[in-house]
Amino acid sequence: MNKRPRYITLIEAEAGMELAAPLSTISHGILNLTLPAGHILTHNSLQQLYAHKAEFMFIVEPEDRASEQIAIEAAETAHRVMEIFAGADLSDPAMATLFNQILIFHSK
Amino acid sequence: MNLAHSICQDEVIRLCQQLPSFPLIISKILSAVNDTDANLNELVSYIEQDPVIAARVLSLANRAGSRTRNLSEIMDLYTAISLIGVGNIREMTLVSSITGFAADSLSVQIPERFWRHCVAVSVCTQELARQIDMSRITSEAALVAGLLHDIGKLWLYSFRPEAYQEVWLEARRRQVGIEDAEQAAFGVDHAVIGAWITQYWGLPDSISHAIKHHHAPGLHCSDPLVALLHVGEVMTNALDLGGAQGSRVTFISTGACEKLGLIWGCEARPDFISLFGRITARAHHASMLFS
Repeated sequence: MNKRPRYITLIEAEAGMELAAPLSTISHGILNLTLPAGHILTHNSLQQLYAHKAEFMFIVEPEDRASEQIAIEAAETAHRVMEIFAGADLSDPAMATLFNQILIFHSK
Repeated sequence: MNLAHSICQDEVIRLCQQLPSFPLIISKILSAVNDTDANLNELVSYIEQDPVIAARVLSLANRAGSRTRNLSEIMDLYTAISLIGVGNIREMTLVSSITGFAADSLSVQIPERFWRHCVAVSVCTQELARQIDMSRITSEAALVAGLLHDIGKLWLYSFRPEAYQEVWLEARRRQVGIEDAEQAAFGVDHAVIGAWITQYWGLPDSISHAIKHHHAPGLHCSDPLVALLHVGEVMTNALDLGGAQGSRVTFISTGACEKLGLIWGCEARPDFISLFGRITARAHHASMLFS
C-alpha cells in the first residue's frame, strides 16, 4: 500500500502512527530522546515525547486516495501556487528560489 | 484619492487610549513557554491569571487525555500542561490574546481570516528564527512581532472604518498593495501606524522597528528582526496559510534573504521542506483553536 507523509503537532499524534523520519528532542543543548524512522508510536513513547517537550513529528499514513484523486489534488495545489505567485517577478533570484521550494514542498 | 483622511502620530496615540493595551500577562506566558529554564510553577502562575487561557488548557488536556490515555477528568493546570505540552500553550496564548483583544476593544466586526493571518505569521516568523538559529530572545520577539505586525490595520478598521473600506476597494481596483493605497489615502501606511502603537504600549524598540519596515525592509535588513518579519509574512502567504483566499506574493527582499542566510537554490532542500512542514503543522493546529 502507498503511504502519504505529513507533519503533525504532538497533540495530533496517536499510538499506532509511524514516524517518517527520526525524531529527536534537545533540551539545554543536550540530545535526550531519539526515535528512529519507522518507529510505531505507542502510549509509552507518546508519554516520553510529551515529557521531553517534543512539538512536531513527520509521520507516514496509509494513502487512501485513488491515483486519479491524487493527480487532481496535485494539479489543484500547483494551480493555487501559480495564483499566489501570479504577480511575482520570477526573474528575481530570491523570488524564483522561494517559488521553487514551495512547489517542491507541495509535491512531497 | 487625496489626503483628506490624513493621519498623524498624535491622533493615532490619542485614539489608541480607547484600546486596551497588549496584555502584559501574554508576554509573560510566551516568555515562560519559550524559556527552557523556566519551571512549571512559573508558567502555571501566569496561566492562572488568565481564566480564558486556563479554561482552554484544561479543555484541550481533557480531550487529549480521553483520546490517547483513558485518563479521568483533569482538573489541575500542572497535569494539563504536562499532558498537552508547552507548544500547545503557546499557540493557545496567541489565539486567546488576539481574539480576546478584539472582543474587548472593537466595535466593528473584523473578519476571522485577519486573526488567522496574524497567528500564522507569528508561528512562521518564529519557526524561521529557530531554523536560522537565532537567539531565544529573538525567537520570542519574532513571535510577538508576527502577532502584532498588522495592528495598524486594526486601528484603521476601528477608527477609520468607512475610509478604510474605500482604501481596500481602491487597492483592489488599481491592483496595488494595500500599503500603497493606505499611503495614498492617509499619508501613512498600517506598518507605520502599528509601530506608533507598539511604541506607545512600551514594547521593545526592535519589535516596533520590525513592524514599521515589514513590507519594505530596504536598508533596514541589518536588523535581523526586520528581515525575519518580512520573510515570515512572505512565507506565510507563499504557503497559503491564514485562511484567506487572497494570499499573494509579489515581493521578497533579497537583502532580507541574505541577512538570514537563505540561499535556497533550485534543488530540493530537506531543511526547508522540514521548515515548511513544521510551519504548516503549527499554523493548521493554531487555526483549529479558533473554533
